Amino acid sequence: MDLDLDFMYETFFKILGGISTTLELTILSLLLAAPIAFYMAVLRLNDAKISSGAVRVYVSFVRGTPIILQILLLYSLLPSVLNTIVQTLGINFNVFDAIDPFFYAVVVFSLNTIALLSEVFRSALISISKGQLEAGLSIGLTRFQVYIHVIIPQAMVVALPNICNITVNLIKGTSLAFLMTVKDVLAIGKIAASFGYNYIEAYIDVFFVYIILCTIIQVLYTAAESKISTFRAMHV
Amino acid sequence: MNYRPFDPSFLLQSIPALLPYLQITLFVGISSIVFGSIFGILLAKAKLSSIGPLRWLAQGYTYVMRCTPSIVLLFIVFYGLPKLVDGLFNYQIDDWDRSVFAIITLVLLFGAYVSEVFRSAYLAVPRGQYEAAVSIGLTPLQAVIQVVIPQAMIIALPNFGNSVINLLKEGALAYTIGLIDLIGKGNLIISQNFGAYAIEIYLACMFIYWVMALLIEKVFFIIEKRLDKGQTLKTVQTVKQDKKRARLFLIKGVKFHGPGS
Amino acid sequence: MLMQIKNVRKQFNGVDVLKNVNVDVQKGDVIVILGPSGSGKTTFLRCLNFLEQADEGTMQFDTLHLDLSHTSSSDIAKVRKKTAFVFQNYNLFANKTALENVTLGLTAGRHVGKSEALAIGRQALDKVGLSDRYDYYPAQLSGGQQQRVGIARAIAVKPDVILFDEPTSALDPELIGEVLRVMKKLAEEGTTMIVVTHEMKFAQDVATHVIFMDGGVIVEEGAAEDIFVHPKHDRTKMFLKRILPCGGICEEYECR
Repeated sequence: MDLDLDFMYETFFKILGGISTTLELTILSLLLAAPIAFYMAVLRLNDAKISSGAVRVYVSFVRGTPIILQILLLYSLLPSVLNTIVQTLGINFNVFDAIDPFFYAVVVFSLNTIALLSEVFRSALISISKGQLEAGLSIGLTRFQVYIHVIIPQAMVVALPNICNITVNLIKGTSLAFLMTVKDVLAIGKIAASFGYNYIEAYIDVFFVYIILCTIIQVLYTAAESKISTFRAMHV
Repeated sequence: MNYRPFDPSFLLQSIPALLPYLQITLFVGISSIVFGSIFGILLAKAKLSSIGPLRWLAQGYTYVMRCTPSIVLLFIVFYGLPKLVDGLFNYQIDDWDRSVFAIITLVLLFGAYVSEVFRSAYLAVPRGQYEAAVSIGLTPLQAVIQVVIPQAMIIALPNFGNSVINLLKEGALAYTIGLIDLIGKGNLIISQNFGAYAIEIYLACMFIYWVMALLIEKVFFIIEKRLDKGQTLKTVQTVKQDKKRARLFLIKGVKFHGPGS
Repeated sequence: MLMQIKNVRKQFNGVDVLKNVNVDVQKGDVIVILGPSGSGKTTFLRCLNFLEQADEGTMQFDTLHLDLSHTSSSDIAKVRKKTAFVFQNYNLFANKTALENVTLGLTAGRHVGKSEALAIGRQALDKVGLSDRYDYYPAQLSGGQQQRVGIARAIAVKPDVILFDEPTSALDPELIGEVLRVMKKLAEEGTTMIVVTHEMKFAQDVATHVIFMDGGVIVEEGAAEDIFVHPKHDRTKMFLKRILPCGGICEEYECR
């Protein structure tokens, strides 16, 4: 099998240009999802039956359906929903031209990440012993203060490996953003591929870019983990 | 563009039209699970092997798969494999059924995922189980097959179930290489209607997937309950931990009101 | 009178854990609560700090008069600022050093300035004999050291009363002495304490008042000597017989 190495070399650097879109999409989705996911985790742990039931169904639905269908659905649904809203409000604004598909991608991946993160936060919070809360309350801290100073820092350490997994999966998942015409790593590779029918070369480039990206992410998370878990690492 | 209200009846109507194509989805999924599990067992064996290069190879492979988007792998297999086979054996496989390419991709991915599940389950069985088996005269092979693996299987079950659900979901990508499975058929219906009913069709597909996921979850849960007679390490540990630490939220009396209250 | 607790009742899943418990606390008292496990003594102590909510009962604390079954969160906060709790399993904040554990109640709970809090924190740790362990995390400390940090955390907030919930029960026998010595020192300085414990020698030496609980009620109470040497009630006698090596009068029973 002959690979067009010159083409591969050139395309590789073209594809690198898509990293910023891939990373922006990933980071923005994570940042938007995190606070909502945390709130959902708290709702789940609460005794409130209706809200925790609603969260359960949402999480189950998102986890039980392929992300590609979530993308296809929302990409058909969101623009028309937005358009209806805009028209009812009587604003002169063309939703279909003015909104960057990147926006839809952020919504889709955030909605997906919320469900996954809320499960991670929930199990991390459950893993912290109840005594930590009691000890904080007993010396006169408010519940909120105990959360800020004691429980969340400990839960973060528990959650971090899972958050790393979610991030890696999210980066991989954003490769489907090409379905929404977002110009990320895979989309650029695809365009280059179809240009000269050099499919395999382009996709191998894309493959390498993702391995590099994921490796960097994992190295960063490992470093962060060892930094914030000093209190656990050392034993007598 | 023209808008019409969401039509739930079309959603229900479309399900009978879609369901026959679930066979294709399931055929791809089940074949991938069977071959992928075999591949995963081999990989797990390699990871537990005492031969360094074999171990590194298996670990490296798993790492690469963990970092590769499924769709990229699917494209590489779909476009690259025919070229590779042509180059090596001078044999044309371009016209093979697209499901074959989907299955090959999913086997490559699933093998990597479950090899980790198998490996960690095997290591989770305490060494003492093996030692006890050998001490009463079983051969090492007998000890592994009769004592260690049955216990490891139970430990592996929940994660294996998760991997199966994930595999089915990744299988949904197959329509992008032109396989007419559940979603492929859904897209055909949508284009027959000139782009209308997309929301109904996609929702119908999602419900079918959701029901499958819930069923698989339930089945694995039942199998686990059946097999687990309380002998596994996991149960012992949970009981112990529960006794040792009163968990933050599970104890009655002090209710959890969330931060700020 | 520093604290007057009346008619405390508490049920868990329909079982009476506390039935009508009354305790008076004077400033400087060291009240030791004894009793078999399941007698309700720990639950009672936890009710005082609102870690459990009593079904019934009142508490008079300084100028506060509280209904234990319906306490507003601001009143709970007031009581918690005047009390401190030492836990059986220490419950040190796992993500904080010894010094941070001690100062958190000051900086976050009471808005004490950072440098002042550090000074108080060091002083408290010095007092429990841990001047060389300021920057150690709980995971790096032995059980006895952790519990002494727990005590330092309690004294640092200068509470009116410290509640001890079986502070030595989770410790290896050789580590119990160091914790009891610290507690004895606090008692001698006039700290008001309510202690749930199985350490009979400590109760005998230090308690100003001993309460024997069984089945959710106070069976017998009085001066240490009365309870240990002249127990009146059969249940008290049986308990003492079981728990003391010399089967009752225990002059030779040495503090570990």
